[in-house]
Amino acid sequence: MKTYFRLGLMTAGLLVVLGSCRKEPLNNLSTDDTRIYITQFDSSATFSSYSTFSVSDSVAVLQNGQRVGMERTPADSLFIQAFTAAMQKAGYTLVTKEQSPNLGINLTHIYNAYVGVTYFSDYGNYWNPYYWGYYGYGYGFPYYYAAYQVTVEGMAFDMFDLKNATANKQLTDIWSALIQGEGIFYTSNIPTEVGYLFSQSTYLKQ
Amino acid sequence: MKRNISIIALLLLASVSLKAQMTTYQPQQDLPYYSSPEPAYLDIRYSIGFPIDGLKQQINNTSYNGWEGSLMFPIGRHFSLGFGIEYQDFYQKYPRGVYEYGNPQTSISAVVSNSVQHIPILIKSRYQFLKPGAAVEPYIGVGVGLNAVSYRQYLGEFTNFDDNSAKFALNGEAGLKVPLTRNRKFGLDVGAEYNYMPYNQFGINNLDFWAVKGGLFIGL
Repeated sequence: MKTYFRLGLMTAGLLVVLGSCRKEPLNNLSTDDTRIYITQFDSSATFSSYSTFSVSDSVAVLQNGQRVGMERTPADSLFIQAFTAAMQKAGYTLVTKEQSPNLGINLTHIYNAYVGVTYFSDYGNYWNPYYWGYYGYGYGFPYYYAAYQVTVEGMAFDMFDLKNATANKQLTDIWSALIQGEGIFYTSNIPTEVGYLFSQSTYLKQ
Repeated sequence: MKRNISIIALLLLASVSLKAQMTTYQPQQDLPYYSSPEPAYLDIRYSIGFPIDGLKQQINNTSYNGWEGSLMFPIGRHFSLGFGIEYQDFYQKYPRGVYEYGNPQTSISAVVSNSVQHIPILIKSRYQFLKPGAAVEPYIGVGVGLNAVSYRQYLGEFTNFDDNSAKFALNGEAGLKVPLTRNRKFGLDVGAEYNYMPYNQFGINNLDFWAVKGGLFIGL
């Protein structure tokens, strides 16, 4: 009986060893495969009702939920440039922020954030609404907006409704996006990455 | 002289008597053979799994990574009872696509990877159709127990969900044992098996699959 018990244990052990040879999904991804592109929009917004936009001239840096500064790296410049080009291709007109744009776009570089941090928590702490000329207002997010769990480096985009900010008494986020994964700041990847955001947001047109 | 002849005769008689006893004892030695026609045996088989039903909706790829080990104890001429542990690994990577994520306002573009590992631990029984001694030994069997199942889904490199749970497991099999040695303690064991694996999570009712198996049995 002891022999049988030992044999049973040996067989189980052997199978556990064989089982550890499972195909590991993460080892079978190319750098491009690792990346995800999330977009969401406010269903009450009519995107064709906006005609002008402006993009922030620098990128907020968010570390573990806290803004640690503003930056404009070559990659950031390319993101701003690619995003501007995509908006123009969608029919919107680029204006300066002093020309009262209908839409204001903020870019945020997120990195080294811990599990459980939510992207929208205390948004106003790191992007002052006064940048868009609305002192005293806060940022607003539709109730169904997902709270992203950020665990690695990412680039986030937020499109605020400046056209109706006075009436709404807040800067409502009507479209947001997040890119995460490997190699997202490689300059050669940036135009393609921004292209994904717009190709899955076909409603985003003038 | 007469005495010597008597001793020799006695010895001969004793040896004949002993031989007679040995001859009559032989069937007694065979008695255990008839009550237990085959020894207990260890079955080790490689397995190819084919997803069906709920599992097929998640993973369409055939699994070439599967193993099984069973320890079976014959009871009578036709039945055997034992236990087994099995392993089957299913995996599929889908090309990049755009999916709704949580609500209709949210979309995600991602390469989706699904990975399912089954480790059923079963009490097994088999019924062998022919009497022991046949050139091939066809059988049917049933196994019931617990399935340690792991189901992970990745969006790109990010875990969307990672579930490890114990679920009910039931399987039915049909196969053929082909003894390769004269003492019938070693041979091939091939078969097919249907695995009923209820799941009931993430909107998936089951992770069923069927499998074809081939390997060796080793008498103990």
